[in-house]
Amino acid sequence: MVNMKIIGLGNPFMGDDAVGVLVARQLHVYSSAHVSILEGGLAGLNLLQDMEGTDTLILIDAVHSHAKAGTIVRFTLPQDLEKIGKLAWGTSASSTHSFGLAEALTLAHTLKALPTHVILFGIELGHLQKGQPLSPPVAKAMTSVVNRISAEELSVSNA
Amino acid sequence: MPGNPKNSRTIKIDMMARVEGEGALNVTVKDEQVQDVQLRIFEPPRFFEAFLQGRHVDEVPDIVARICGICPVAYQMSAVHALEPIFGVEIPPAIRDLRRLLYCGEWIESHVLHIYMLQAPDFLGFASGLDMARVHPDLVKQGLRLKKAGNHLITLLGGRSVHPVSVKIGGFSQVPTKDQLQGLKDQLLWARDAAVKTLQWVTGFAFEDPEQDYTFLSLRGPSEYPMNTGQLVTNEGHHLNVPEFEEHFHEEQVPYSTALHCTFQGKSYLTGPLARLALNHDQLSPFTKEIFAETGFSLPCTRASMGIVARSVEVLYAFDEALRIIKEYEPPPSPSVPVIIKAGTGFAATEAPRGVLYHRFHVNDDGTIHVAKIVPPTSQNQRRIEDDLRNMLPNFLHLNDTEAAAKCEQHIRSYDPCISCATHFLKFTREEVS
Repeated sequence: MVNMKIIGLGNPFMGDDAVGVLVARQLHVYSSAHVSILEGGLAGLNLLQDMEGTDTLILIDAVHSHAKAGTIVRFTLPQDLEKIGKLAWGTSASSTHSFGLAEALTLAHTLKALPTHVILFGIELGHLQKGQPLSPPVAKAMTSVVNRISAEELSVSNA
Repeated sequence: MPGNPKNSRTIKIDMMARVEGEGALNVTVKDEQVQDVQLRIFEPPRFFEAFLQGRHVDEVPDIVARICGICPVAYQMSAVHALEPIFGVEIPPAIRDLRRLLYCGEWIESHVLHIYMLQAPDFLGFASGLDMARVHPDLVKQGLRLKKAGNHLITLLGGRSVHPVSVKIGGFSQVPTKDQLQGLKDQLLWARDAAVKTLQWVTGFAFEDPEQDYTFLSLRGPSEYPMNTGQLVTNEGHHLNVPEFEEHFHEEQVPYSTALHCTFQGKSYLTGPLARLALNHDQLSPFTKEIFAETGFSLPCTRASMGIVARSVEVLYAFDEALRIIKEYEPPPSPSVPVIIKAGTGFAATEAPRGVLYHRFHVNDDGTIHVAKIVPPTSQNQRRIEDDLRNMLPNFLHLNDTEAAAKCEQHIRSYDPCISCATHFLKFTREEVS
């Protein structure tokens, strides 16, 4: 049992969809006996397994909501489940069985399998070009989310 | 039947859930008779056979694993089993068993997902696995825990749960210790019990689709339920060696699909769990046979919807087989045997969760791939699915479009087609021609 799991979601080869995974990689320095940092791929059913065994879960994924690229949204679960369900997460529209992040979180909630504290950071993506680096506004947002998580979440957990 | 002035109509189903890949179904009806059925796959071509050309054989297991997120082990197994005979590699029994154990993990993960999240909701009247979870949370939890047990097998043997990385020509890059495998035992014992309950549960479902006159194709070996080895056999008495595959099975392009259609001596056939079970049930473990016999279910299963029964039998068998392998395991002296690269041609077929997966490779002197040929199970079953629907559709023509489409969707889903990793959107079109 760890105190906190941080899971970065997305496809690292699909342009800005990599942002969740890249946030997780940057936070890897905080990995410890209490904090576990994972790359969760395209969410789906495996996310239910990945979220087991922790009190606090922090998820990061790219989101598609016609906002300005690089816009950061922060949701708390289970309160914000409905809002999360209305957004398109990462490349979830094209993931297997159309079972993406929102469906995985809803299923976890239905099965009472969500950790006590769950926070989801969404970063509005700009492009999904294969093999291309993050667009500048998304790269900036990545740094900002890394700083927020280390300041707001990890400082508490390590205290 | 309502019709528009042009005597044709279109029915669309948004988000055909629980089928993998991007496809559509076109049905043409004339004077209340079904004229044509086309299962269209418009997922973009993948080009893997071309990607492999010029790559070194050592890279092949990692490249082919990327063909499918659900059955990467199958691609790795067909690849190494096709390549190793070229180099005269003899695989020691312990490595052979570990590969079988890895395959058990994949069958479990893939089948359990389909049983619990994709097909069971159809029998119980739910629109999705998510809806089923609201009413039957404990059932869905049981399914997820079973899937997790398969996942743990793949993670331990393959290095990670998706697109495993440890499989190589000659063996594995790393093999588990006896203790590591023993560590899975309690979880597998629980899972075997849950698999018994799963089989008892699904055999109680109502199977209402018509019986089909299937030509079944599967591997069959001398002694064990087929995974990595065996001859190609059918219920019509064929016994073919794997290198003869392309003489008897022909892939052809059809204008409406990016997947090739494969036929056996010009006809459709069925590969996968229903076929494996029909042709190899005598090779199931005694425990699996006993539990299956108690359900009173008779073989062969000739209704597509009974795929859920065949998958549940195989899940039970896979857990039982995994426990046997773990119990008898002695680590090999080395994770892999030496491989001396040379030119040649190799063939293999293994049993992917969805059926026979055929590979052929021509290797150059320097170990690069000259030609690669891959025939996946879904392209083999595609023609059979169309034939089924052609037989069944007359019974559906009195239904309205939504109901007829739903029946077709359910039927297609019962085959667990894996069109792989794209949006799944079945557009059902019924055209009435005068």
